[in-house]
Amino acid sequence: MRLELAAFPVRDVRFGATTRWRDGVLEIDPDEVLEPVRRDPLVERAELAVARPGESIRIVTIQDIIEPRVKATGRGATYPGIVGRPVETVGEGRTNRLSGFTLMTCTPPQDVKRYGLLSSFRPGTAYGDFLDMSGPGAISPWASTVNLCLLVEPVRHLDPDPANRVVQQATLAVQDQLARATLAETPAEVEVLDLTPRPGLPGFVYIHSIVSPEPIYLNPDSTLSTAVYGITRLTQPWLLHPTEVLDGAVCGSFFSGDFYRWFTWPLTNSIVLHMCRRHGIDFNFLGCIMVRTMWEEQRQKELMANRAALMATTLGAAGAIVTPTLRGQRMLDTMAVVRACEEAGVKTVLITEEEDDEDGSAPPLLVTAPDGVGLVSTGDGSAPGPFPPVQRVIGAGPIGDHWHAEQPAPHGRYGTSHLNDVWGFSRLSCVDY
Amino acid sequence: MEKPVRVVHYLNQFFGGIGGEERAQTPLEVREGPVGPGRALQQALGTKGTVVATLICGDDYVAEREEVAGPSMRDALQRYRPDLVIAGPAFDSGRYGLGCALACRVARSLGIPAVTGMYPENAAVITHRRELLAVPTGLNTTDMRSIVERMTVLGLKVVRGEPLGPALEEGYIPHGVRKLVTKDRVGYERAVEMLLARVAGRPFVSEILVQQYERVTPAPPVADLSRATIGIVVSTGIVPRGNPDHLPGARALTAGRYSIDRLPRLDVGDWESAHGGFNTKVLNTENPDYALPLATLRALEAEGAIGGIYPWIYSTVGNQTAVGPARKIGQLAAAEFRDAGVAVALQVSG
Repeated sequence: MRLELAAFPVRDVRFGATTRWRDGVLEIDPDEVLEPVRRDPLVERAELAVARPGESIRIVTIQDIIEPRVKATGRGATYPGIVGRPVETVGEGRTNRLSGFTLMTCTPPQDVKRYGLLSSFRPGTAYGDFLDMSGPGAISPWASTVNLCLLVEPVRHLDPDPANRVVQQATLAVQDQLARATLAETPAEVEVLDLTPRPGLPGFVYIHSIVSPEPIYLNPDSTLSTAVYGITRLTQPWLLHPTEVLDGAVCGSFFSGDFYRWFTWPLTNSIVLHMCRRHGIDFNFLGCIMVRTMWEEQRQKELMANRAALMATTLGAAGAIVTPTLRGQRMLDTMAVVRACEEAGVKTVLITEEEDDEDGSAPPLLVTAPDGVGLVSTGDGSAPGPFPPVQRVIGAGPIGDHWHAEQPAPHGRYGTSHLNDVWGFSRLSCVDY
Repeated sequence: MEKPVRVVHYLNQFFGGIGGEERAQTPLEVREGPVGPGRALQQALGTKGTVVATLICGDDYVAEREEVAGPSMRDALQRYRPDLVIAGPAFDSGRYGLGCALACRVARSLGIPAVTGMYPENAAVITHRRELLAVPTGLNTTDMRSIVERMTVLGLKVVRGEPLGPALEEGYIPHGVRKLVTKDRVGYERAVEMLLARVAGRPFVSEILVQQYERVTPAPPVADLSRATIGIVVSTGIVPRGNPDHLPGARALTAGRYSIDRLPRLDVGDWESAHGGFNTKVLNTENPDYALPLATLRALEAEGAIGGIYPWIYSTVGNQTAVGPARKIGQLAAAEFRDAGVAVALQVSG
């Protein structure tokens, strides 16, 4: 498949009387853009706010981060399948993207007690679920993008899943309008991603683990995790063409019980894009394999790993980059994939966060990697700190004053990650001392 | 010119020229000046340092009689007051490695920097990794000169009080401590480069090298279950309803200890799960027995398949639990079970 990515870089955002992209400036009519969101009777409040690189701003209550994209030509719709969008196969034709820009949706945290779960986490624990736009804490990729924050508060009586549907609907309604503002304009740059294999190069696949919310929320149609064409249930591995992933075929953040992991932007803007760009130069990018995790039996985990490895060998892969999503029991599924690939003759490199080393008394990985596997560390979830006070905090719902104050450096450990970077989009890592 | 660094060198009986395996019981001996590989050490030091004495000890003696060898080394070091102790290199010899490690540990306890050299999988590295500053060696003793040079460079650096950088850059065996750094390139770029190297058969360096896990020797099998008392320890978060000890749903640091004396089963009115890592709806609205199978154990007890059930359970939440607290909880339960004559610990993980 061949996809043209047409870039419309965003240097700045202005609120105005119309919504259009012109010479790097995205003008937004907030009333127009928010109209379909505010029309939803399940939305209590919706606002927009802008966070630019270098501003003294901290963003909290982030639900997901996406780069607005729209199909200019070719089948289907970007971010397909979720909240009723078409499921036509994407990944061909031309996709317009607002590059250097994100839509950051913020929403108040949901309450899992409604599902009969006890309150899950120890009170007073800092999750590091904030992003700084300036200062020493501006280490995320989104500290250098112009971010439009969409603050959405669903009506209060909703359960987490229907509330999440409302938020996803709002996000996509806004992203569609913003991305469509490029349709009559000329792109600054067009990247042609033609993944026809070139002879003489080794074949690589990308294998990513995606957590299924089905066993957690006892709901096969839950929206509370990353979807493949809208599907989140615990299914066997999916094979996708890399350009489908760039069109958002795998999207949606994971809700862990009291906070969200922002998974959409990393899927469209990090490793898959990088591998597409290196296709035909260093290797042939043969495909993306999405392996659902959360299987309850070891044999099920092994079966899924075997299926993923068979997909890789059937595609003719010599190598695979493997990424987990969440740690804990999901790491068993991911390491089973690594093991199955190695046994099938597919050489692997695993990108992963590490466990807290507990001052050198605990091992860096929950399960041992097979001998010889290349491991790339994205750190242990900690971040250099402290994060100095900020002038402005952007977030949805009631926001505590404490967010304006200095924030301590998050201590990295399973469940606490400042960036939750399993894709390697940051430069953080750990080394041996 | 700076004052030459005073160095004491540690060797085993073989490299110290006393003898082979038949002399492995030799107690600690002290010689003035360099001996054997100590001459290479003196050459490496050049004018920067002087090997003032050599400590030599038999491999068996040092490995088996640490409580005597240690104080002897201490006396010798106090007598010579060196600025630096160099031990070995020991290559892959386990007992020699332990001797080098002991010399380094004694030196450290006196505030004297110490550097050794050994094969990274030497038993002494496995045992004393955190305390050793060791240059990695191969198995080949003919590399002695270059190893001694690397030990010297590292040792002089430590004597100067310069902070050490990462293990790979400085050339020492990792202590198992990981530190956050910012790399030049993002992770996915490094991953693609690493995969290209792997597939092409070119050398590459994995970013996570030390994967140390504790090895646990399993207890011997229970000969007769019908006479055995079963103790129950769970990480499924089973607690009396209301969670009186406020066991958290994740990252527990402690375990609750609760009585199940004479209870036929866990009743949903009296028990619940505090676990925050899986869906506990069935446990908390229907049957907590799924996470602590008391009814089944009672049936086995009634039919005589097991001897009995220990009346106290330990329960924690196995969700994002750190290794340290988990080990402590395990030790607590194991000690009580052992003292009470419990023969089998049934662990239900969650």
